[in-house]
Amino acid sequence: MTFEQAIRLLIIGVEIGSIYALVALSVVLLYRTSRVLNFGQGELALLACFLTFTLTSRMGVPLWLSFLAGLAASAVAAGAFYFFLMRRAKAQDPMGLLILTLGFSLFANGGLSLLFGVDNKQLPGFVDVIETWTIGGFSISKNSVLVAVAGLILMVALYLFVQKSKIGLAMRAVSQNPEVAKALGIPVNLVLVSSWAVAAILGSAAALLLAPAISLNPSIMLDPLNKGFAAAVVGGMTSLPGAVLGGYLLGIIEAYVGNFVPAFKLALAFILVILVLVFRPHGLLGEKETRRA
Amino acid sequence: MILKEHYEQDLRLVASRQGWIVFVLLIAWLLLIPQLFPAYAYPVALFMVYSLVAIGLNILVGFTGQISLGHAGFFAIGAYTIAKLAPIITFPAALLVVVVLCAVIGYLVGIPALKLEGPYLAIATSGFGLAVQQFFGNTPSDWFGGQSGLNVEKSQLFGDLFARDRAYYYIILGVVLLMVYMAFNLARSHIGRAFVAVRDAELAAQTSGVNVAQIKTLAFAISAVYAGVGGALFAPLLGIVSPESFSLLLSVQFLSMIVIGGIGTVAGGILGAGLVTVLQDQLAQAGGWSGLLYGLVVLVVMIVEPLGLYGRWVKIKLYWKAWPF
Repeated sequence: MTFEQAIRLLIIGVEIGSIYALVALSVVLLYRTSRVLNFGQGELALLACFLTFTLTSRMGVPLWLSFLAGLAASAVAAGAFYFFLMRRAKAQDPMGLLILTLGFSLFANGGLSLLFGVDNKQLPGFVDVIETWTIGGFSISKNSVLVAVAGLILMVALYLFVQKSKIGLAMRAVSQNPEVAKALGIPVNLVLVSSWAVAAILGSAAALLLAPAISLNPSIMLDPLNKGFAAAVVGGMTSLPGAVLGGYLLGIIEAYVGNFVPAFKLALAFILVILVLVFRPHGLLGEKETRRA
Repeated sequence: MILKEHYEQDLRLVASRQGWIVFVLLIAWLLLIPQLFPAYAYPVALFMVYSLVAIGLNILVGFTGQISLGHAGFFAIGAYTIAKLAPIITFPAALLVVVVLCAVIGYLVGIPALKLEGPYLAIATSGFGLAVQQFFGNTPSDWFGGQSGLNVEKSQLFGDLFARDRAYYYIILGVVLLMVYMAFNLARSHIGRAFVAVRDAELAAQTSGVNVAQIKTLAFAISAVYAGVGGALFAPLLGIVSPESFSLLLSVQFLSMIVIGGIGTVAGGILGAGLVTVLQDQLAQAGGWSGLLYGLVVLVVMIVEPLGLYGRWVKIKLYWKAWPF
């Protein structure tokens, strides 16, 4: 492997890694506040993609505006899903809730396929996917740079939101102890609805960054969602920095290994998961959850 | 849930008179299906195969409280083993190989699973399922046929006598009945009770002398055997095994069967498998609507009746027993 090839693979790894990191962040954010894995995350992101596509390509709305509309729609859908279904379900154990999100995922995927069709569509991006910059002999795809930078900006924004804003503080309180948070006058339902919405925005942003580089159809989020779950587990389900670390780690390892044995790209993520879990059962940066027997 | 007055009542295989009626009617119906309604023989055979997997998954998820999103993997291992061994050895011998192989693999998967719980276990097991699917799809095509899969001829397995679909139906029925009987027995044995004890209070089970690690890995092994035998019966039924049929979606379907049917009971697994097979059969005609409607059923069950169909049945029974109070 030449030096130039190594750099090229690193850039691909960082690009795909930031997608994984964003999905993993949405998984972890939701897990920390509501103790649930949301398998419907992929469909929420698809909703954003399809809406953006319809607005911009069919109705001629400016790209940035339809982008924001897509994000808003998936945030509202996620909030509504939590508020009207998750919260009221009779099965409130983790397994019941997990299966509820699986049901939602099947339902929403079926619905989106019916509404928007299963054919391949081309979502326009902010930059042309094939354009490149040439810096010191290297050619770097503009899209890679855009994805990596946008990913970083979103991560910093999430950090500021969780650490500095009042609702972020409330989220952390709810994730520590919902009952005490409620007793202290924190509007727990509002906090949970907004954490579902923020998680949906992160996942949808990842999908909207990914979709222009590939074609858009109802199954594109399956792989990124699996990888995002894997990245979240590698980093630790309770740690937001862990999700970022897991995402980049997975993206970069996948880029290098995938270059040599492309057939086992998918299994690789889970080999990594199992290796990490055997030595650190709560992920690289996660903490053991204490529970009373 | 049902009041028992004597220990003997708890030991009975079929608990009540209603149980006997249901049991006898079900057996009679299953025996007569190929004679009376040959067109339904295939979906009913599929139902029996699925109910094996659902029972196995219920032993792991419902009894022992460990989640698995990777049972399509064990199902695939069973199916591919039969497909590979069919031209070489007889069916009972091949089935025995499947049982041993799946028990060993299930045990091995169960060891790292000991350290994991909740979401970690769900993701790790789904990874196992995906890895198995990738393995069968991406190894050289003279091993397992690559992406296009392998053909399984019934005549290779049983000779010309059993090549007919009707004969194979009765083979499935026999194997399934035997394994369902074993599952009902297992649920009432000390091992079944240890499973439930580990699920309800791991620490308390441990202090009462239950070897938690052993019981958890045993649950994985038994569960894998049920899924593997299900896969082994499935392969000749379908006539072809290909990697795309053993996706994560299949694992999700298995899980939805036990949830719809009722978690933590053998009968619940059978009921769920029945309903899901009927749904699939009917929804196949609905075309694009199938995903939407299937998801809707899962959503409604989870929101309205988390104990599933079996839980609802028990509630109705108790209601009429106490009627008019």
